[in-house]
This record gives sequence, C-alpha cells and structure tokens, in this order.
Amino acid sequence: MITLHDVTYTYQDEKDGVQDINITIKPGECVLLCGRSGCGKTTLTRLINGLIPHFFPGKLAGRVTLDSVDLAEMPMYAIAEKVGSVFQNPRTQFFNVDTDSEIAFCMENLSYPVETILARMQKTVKDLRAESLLGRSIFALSGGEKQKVAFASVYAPSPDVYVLDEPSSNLDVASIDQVREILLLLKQQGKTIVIAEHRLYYLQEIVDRIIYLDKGRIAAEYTVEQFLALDSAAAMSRGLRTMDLHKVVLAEQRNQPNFPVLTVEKLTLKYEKNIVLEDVNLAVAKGDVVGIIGRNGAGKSTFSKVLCGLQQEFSGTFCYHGKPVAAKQRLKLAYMVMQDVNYQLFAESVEEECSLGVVSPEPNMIVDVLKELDLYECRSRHPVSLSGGQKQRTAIAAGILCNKEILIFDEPTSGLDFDGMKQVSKLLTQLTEMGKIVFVVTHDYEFIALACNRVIHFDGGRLQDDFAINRQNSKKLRDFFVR
Amino acid sequence: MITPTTHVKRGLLVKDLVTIGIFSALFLVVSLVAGMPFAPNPVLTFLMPVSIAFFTGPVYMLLLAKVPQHGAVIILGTIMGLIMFITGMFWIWSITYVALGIIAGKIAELGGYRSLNWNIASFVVFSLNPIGSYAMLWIDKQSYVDYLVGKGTDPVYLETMAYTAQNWVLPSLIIGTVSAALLGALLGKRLLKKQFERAGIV
Amino acid sequence: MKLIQVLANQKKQGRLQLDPRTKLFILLIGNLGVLFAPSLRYEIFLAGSAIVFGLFCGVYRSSLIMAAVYCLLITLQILGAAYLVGVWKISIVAFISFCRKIFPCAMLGGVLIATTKVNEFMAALNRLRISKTIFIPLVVLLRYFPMMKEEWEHIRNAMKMRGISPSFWAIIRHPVTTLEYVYVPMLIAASNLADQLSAAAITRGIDNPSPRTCLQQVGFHALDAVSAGGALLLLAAAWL
Repeated sequence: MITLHDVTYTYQDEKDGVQDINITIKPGECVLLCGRSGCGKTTLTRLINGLIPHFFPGKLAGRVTLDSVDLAEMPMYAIAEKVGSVFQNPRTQFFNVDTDSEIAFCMENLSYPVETILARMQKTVKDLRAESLLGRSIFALSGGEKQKVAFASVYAPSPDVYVLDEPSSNLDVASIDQVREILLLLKQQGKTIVIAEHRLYYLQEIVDRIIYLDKGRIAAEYTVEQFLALDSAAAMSRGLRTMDLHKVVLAEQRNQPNFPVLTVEKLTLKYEKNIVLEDVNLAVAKGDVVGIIGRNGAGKSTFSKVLCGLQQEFSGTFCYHGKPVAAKQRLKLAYMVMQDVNYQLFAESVEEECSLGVVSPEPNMIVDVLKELDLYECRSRHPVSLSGGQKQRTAIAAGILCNKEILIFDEPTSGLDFDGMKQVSKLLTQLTEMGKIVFVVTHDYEFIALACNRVIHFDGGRLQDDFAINRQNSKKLRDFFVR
Repeated sequence: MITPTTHVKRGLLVKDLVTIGIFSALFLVVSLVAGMPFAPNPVLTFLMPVSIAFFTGPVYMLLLAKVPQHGAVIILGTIMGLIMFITGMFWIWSITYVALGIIAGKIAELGGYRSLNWNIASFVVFSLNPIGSYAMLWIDKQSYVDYLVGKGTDPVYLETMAYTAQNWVLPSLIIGTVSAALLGALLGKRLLKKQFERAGIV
Repeated sequence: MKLIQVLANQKKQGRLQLDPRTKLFILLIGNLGVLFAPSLRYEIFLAGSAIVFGLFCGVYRSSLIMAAVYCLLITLQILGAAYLVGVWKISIVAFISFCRKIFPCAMLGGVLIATTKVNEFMAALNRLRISKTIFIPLVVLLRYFPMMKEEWEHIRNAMKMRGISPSFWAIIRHPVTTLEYVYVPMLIAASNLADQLSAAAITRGIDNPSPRTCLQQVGFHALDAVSAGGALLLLAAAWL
C-alpha cells in the first residue's frame, strides 16, 4: 500500500514540483497519472520509487510511505526490492552490454544467490515470453525489444509495485502492444502499478483510476468510464491525448492543386548489404506534409537518410524541379530534424546557431525567422538550455536559414502532450506556407490525423501504399494503428 | 533541504561514479583517436603524447567541472591505467597513469576542485603520463649501446650520439606535451565558459 | 534446463579456456619477463611463447598475423642497424627494438581481450573484491564504449547537413571551431546520459553495500594452474 500524505516537493532549481499531494494506492490497483507536460506526473513517480529524495536534491515536506515505512528512511536498494521502475527511453536505461546480464542485474545487486537468480530469470523469460531476447547484445536490439528487456530486468526480482514513466514514448505500435500485454499480466498477478503517460489509448483495460494533475496539484480523479465519457473538447482543454483512438477525427485538409516538385523513381536502397526498399516511386508537391509509416525495420530511417543525401542510394533517381539531384546536392537541399535534437545544436546561442553553416547570413533574415518561430525572446540563450519544443524550433530555424527546401522530421512528437503535438502540427503548416516540402516519420496516429495531408507506408521492402488523408482513407489509416 | 543519500564513498555518489565512467570512456576514445596515428611511426611517435594532451584537455576539464570531488581524477587515472595494462601496454604506463592521477588530483584539490586555473595545472601534470610508456627507451639505452658496440660501431661515436639523442629528446617531449596540454586545457576552459555552463550541464 | 545451457560456457574442443584472473596473471608475468629479459634470445623466446599461448586459446588468425609482424620487426631492426647512420640509426632502430621488446605484452593483452567476454571479466573483478568506486565507472565505460560510435555518426550526419562537415579541409582552415562543433554535442550528450544511467542503476539497487553476486560464474580449473605454472617457469628461465 502506497500513501502520499500532504506531500509538497520542489526541485533544487526551485522552478518545478508538486504541492499538497494526498494519494492512497491500494495493493493491486493500477493508477494512471496524466496531465500536461510539466504537471508533476513524473515527479510523483519519482516520489514513489524513491528517486526523490535519494537522487534528486530538493525540498520535501510530507510523508511518502510504502507499507507504512517512510521511503525517505529506506535506503534505495531496499526500495529497489519492492518497487521496480521502467523509464521512457529504452536506449539510456540499460546498464549492461548483453541481455542476460541486464535481466540479472537487479538481483545481482541485491546479492541474491546464483540459484535464485537463475530460477527467477527462467520464470521471467517464460512469463514475459522473452526467449528470443536471451543471449543477445543489447546494442543489436530494436527499441521495443530493449524496453521488453527493461521490463524483464525489473520483473525478475518480483517487486510488488511497478512505477512506469511514459514507457511507450519511443515505441512503435507493435511494441506498445507488447507493453500492454505485460501490464495485463502484472495486473493478473495482483501487482500495484503506477504509470505516468501521455499516450493513453493502450491503457483502457488496465487502469483502475486516473489522476489528472495540473501545475503540480491534483486537479481531478476519474474512473475509466468517467474518463471515456469526457468529450474531445474537454480532453483537449486539459491538454490530454485521447484514450479512444476511434474518436480521432481527421483534420479538414485544404485542397490545393499542386504539381509535383520532387519525384523519386525506381529507388532501391540498401542497408549493410541487404536490400531494404525496392522500386520506390513517389511524386511530392510543395506544401505536402507526407507522413511516413511502417513497422520497425521497414526502411523508414534508411529512406530518410538517403533523402537527405547522408547515404547513397543503390539505384534510382531523385528529381527536383525536373533536374536529377545526386546525394551531394540533396545534402544541401534537404535537412533532417532528428529525434534527439541535441546532436544538431552546436553554437552558444540561438542567434549563433542560426548563422552557423550559412556562408553569409543576412542579419535581417535571421531576425525574421526567429520571430516567425517564436524564438526571438530567447535568441541569446544557449540552445541546449531551452525546452524540448524550443530546441526543435532552433534546429528548424537553422535549417531554414541554410536554405533547405525539403525537411524531414524523425518522431517529432514522441513524449509530447496534446498541446505540444498541436504546436508541432502548426509548425509544419507554417513550413508548408513557406513553400517547403515536409516529411514526417512517425508512430503518432493523432498527429498524422492532424498534421499530414498524405501518408506513405513502407512494408515488405516496398512502398506498400501511398494515399491522401481524407474520409475515404481514414479506415485504412486507423487500421494500421488501432488493434 | 534533502540531499541525495546514495553515497558510495567519501562524497562520491553513484551519479558521480557513472559520470566518471562515461568521461573515462570519452578520455580513452579521444586518446586512441589522437594517439594512434602517431604511435606506431618511428619518426612521429613522440608526437603521440603531444597530440593526446591537446585533445583530451576539454574532456578532463569538463569532468572536473561536473565532479569537483576528491577521487574523480584518481579514478580516471586508475581506470586508464587498468585499461592500458589489459590492452598490453607495458606496465610502466599503467603505473604512471595511477601515480599522475594521484598527483594531479592533489593539485586540483589545492584549488578546491573548482578553480579553473588549478584544474589546468592538474591536467598539465596528468597529461605527462604517456611519457612513461617511452621510459623503456631510456632505461634500455645502455644495453642497446652495448649491443651496437658489440656489433663493431665506434664506441666514442656512439656515446656522443646516444648522449646528444638522449639530451634533446626527453626535454623537448616534455615541453611539447606541456604546451599541448596547456592549449587543450585552455580550450576546455573556453568551452566551459562559452558553452557548457550556459547549456546548464555543469 | 534450457536457460542453463544458454548461460553455461560452451566448451569448444581444443581451446584453452581460462579464468580471466589467470589471464591477468599471465599478462603480469609477461610484463615481468619483458622487464627482466637478459638477452635477445630470451626476448624471442618470450614472444614465441606468447604467440603459442594465443594459438592455444583459439585466437588463430591474430596470432599468426602477430607472428608475421614480429618477424618483420626483427628484420627491420637488423637491417636498420646495418644500413642506417647517425641520429636516424639510433632513434629508428631503438624505437623498433623497443616495439619488439614489448611485443609479448601486446600479444597477451590481445589474447585477453579476444577471449574474455565483458561479463566474465566483470565477474572476475568482482571475485577479486574490487571496490565499487572502480567497478561502477568501469562497467559504465564498457557500456558506453560501443555507444560512442553511434553517437559520433549522428553528430557527423548533423554536421554534414549543416555544411560544417569535419573534413580534412575544414580541419586545416578552421581547426578550433571544427573541434568545437564535434566536442559540444558529444560532451553534452555524454553528460545527459550520465543522469539517466544513474537513475536506472539506483532504482535497481546498485548502492547495496553487500557484495554483489554474479550470474556469470568464473572459477579456477586444472588448466589454470597448469598455465600459470607454465608462465612462471618461463619467467624463471630468464635467470638460467
């Protein structure tokens, strides 16, 4: 049983935190914490798994107890035996290089005897159906597989409580299904689950109670029925994503007659000597926002890299305005906004970042672009110190000032709440108004429905489908995402 | 105010140890990339410590900025020494890594680990470590001279040459390494002020 | 039990499988042998033994390549001593001779790395009761090392798209700024990773003061004693 009694916590930088939190979570209950970005849901997860106060310095008032023991008085390793934590980024939460060691890691730390470790590992692998993951290098796993190993690693010592912080953030549809399966199993076993999430749709059958947070306080509590009864407007005004994907409405698209500006003919791509995509043919017009969907390994990232000129195509041609463009020219023409924008920020201020790479940037142009993208106020700040959305816009500004015509976004909405997603969608529209061509690689169904006017689907080594977003095609699109 | 309680030893938290591990990996990779082009070449080999000293400067400075504690540099030195031993570098290099790690740590301590200038001095001392790997060359000079004499080269000629060769190589190596280390650490200082502090990672 | 099969060391025929601690010990003996080597004949004997050891351990291709390299070094040393003059002679021949002398260490180190898996090595260190202040950074280093290549590729791609590619000309014309463009994202990414890895480790009990157990089992067998003994004998031969 978990209780938070009159808990108020502020982080060391004194900007964020939670106030007057009173929650009781019964054993076997599954509680969903939701709200806008920065509402405090992650903070609550940290209060329950002990990271606050043991890892994050700050001011804590009130008591957090697990089975009547105050967490502030338990050492972390004692908490670790009772509370298992899974975080959002599969790439950065594994500590070992191979899967076996990772699954055994917690038990090894807790000094369990080897026989116990072996027995528990066997049970874990059987229960989670993870046989195919044994004995492999973690670096060779996909995001979904890594997240499954993370779950296995936490399941092995058999804790009573599971704390999950946006576990589906970086996952594709199939992997989210797997997470759902695991959660159903945990529920069956009577474990207590606390989960902070933006993406709500996969949790319908799992949660018992939904706590909505706003600016660090508990603003509302719902049961699943009550939550589903909220209409779209109510959900959106709370900054929440929808829980029922069937309710997603495709935005009205402007119908502009446009002739193709970028054509791709008979494109074949290879990745490490294997053919990944064959015979891709595509014609894209200015103003198109093309969503790229497909399972993991379908070739989306290879396509993105080749489009940007970062990788050579194996055969086929790209034509821009009728003229063929080789990889070197595409490098100047196209620009990718990466999932982790930090890799593409180089300068000490937003202004400097914008003048980087451009041979002779006109100061006026820089000011215009910064104002357009709502970055003018923070132009002297270091790009890395900005919020996620601001960083993304800085990378885009730099791309625009480098005169890029084709922009490709890699999962721009992962981890964003509803407002964040809407902002990205608005941004893409702005870019099309500037005459840019936009591609988006994404798993986010709500986002595609809002932002894209067209979808291309890679599957089985080919361009499986290429369709416009409209009423007729809405079922086709939904079927890809909703199981 | 509640401070984190996952201490492992003497003020070093798990987070500090993980940071040290990551920066040790960076230090190792940068050393390899900076040193490998020069090391196997008989003419250019003495540029190896110089090159390493320059390129590892920013990594060292950022490490001390993030973990301004007793033990950060010692652990770096020990881990590098261990890795040098395991990869089959002659054991003197490992000893110099550990020894200079301890000494450099003490120097940084004089500035409370937060003074940039003392940290620069600390790095300059630390970066002398590859010279230890060449120690054999000078220790072994005598037996080599004997060998050549045995082969019939004029002893007087040899003595002069050995003497001259020995005399200018070691000092210029030290001066070169120290200068490169200074430049590297200054680059580190500049990056700290211009970028890392403003980015909020320190 | 399938899991046991997966986890147990697979004993291949004809391969010497040693506890990592034995290999470390042999490496140490090798270093001592190089230090105390009394003659060229002994040095060649030591190098030869190292290569034979490599072959026994199953590192066939590298051992043969290293043998060829060694012969090349000897040849170069003799030719250099015969045909070069003056300062060149001293420095180049001395350097080649130095490389040749420390060759056995490099050979043994290579065998250790090629034949020891990461978790075996960490298990061995654990048995040696290595302190957590060294253990944790070392595990993190081994874990971060393979990741760095991937990170570097992201950064390089980003630089290429912005036209600040780390090419040869860029380094000649703007050395410091190019270096800055590489270092800044690299070090910032590294810094961010530290926080997340720490949280992942702490929530799984790494701060437990009791000694860790290790899934991976390492232990001494008869062959370890034989190999260690053999190494000691080789060292003793230096004084014969």
